[in-house]
Amino acid sequence: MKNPNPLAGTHAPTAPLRLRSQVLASMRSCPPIESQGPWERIWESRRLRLAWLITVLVLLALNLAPSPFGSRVSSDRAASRARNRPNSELASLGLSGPILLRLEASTRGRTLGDQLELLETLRGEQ
Amino acid sequence: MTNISHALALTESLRPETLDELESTWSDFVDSRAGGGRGLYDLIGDELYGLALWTTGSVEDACDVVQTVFLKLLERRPALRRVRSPRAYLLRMTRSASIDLLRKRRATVDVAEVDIPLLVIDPGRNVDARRLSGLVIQLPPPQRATVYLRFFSELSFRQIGLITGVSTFTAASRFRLAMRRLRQWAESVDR
Repeated sequence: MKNPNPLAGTHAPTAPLRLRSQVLASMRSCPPIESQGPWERIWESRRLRLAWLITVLVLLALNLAPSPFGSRVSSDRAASRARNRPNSELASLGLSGPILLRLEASTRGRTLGDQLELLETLRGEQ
Repeated sequence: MTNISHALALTESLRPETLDELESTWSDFVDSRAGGGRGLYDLIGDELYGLALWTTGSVEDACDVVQTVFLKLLERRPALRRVRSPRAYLLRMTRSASIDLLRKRRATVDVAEVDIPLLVIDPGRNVDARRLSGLVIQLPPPQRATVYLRFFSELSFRQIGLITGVSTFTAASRFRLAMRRLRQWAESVDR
């Protein structure tokens, strides 16, 4: 009766002896590979690359989305600008510093005509 | 194909001492400790050579493949820490390098060129190794690789499928077809 397995009683050949020395020599002659730092290795991982991408996209989305605090911040800035505007207008007229303080204290309870007259007087003094 | 699935599949058939030795040698190699490459070759060089020889059908090509595999290992050394099953990784690399080389040089192996036995006959058996090798080399490379991994590396069809990138069913079917062909050819030659 024939053996059903034609490969029975055989085994795999071993590698030629010269191959071992060739492989080891070629590995020795291969230049050493510089070890990578953590910041270079970080891009090797697919999961980490994905995490970076998601983080960037989330940050972008948060930056582009309308902020619930955005209107309050802008109204604060507008109020600040409105408060500073009269001072800048007075400064453009040449009134500043102690004169303005005197003007503010002296114009309380006076009519507009009196205030203008006082302003001219103060200008003359300056 | 993940390394994890390789690891799960391939640790089943390995002898524990061989597995431990291979994994510790692998760690030595990855950490660039002295003797890591030499130890790795001594442990698995013959198996890789056999697979390359059975796939390419040429001693010179098989030697080239094994050299290529070990040089690629050097290049990839920083990334090898993630490899869970060194044996599976090396067998897969060898198979890929053999297929690449076959594609580059020629589509098929010329039967007339085969003058090196692909296998060694056990003492006391009256079988012509050269004739049997001549039959084996007539099989297509995927079938040859499957027969080698099943018969000499003693892997399961699931493990072979993971290494060669096919399903378990395909690996088993390749093996059955190859053995049937070998049997038929052997009988026809004997007549």
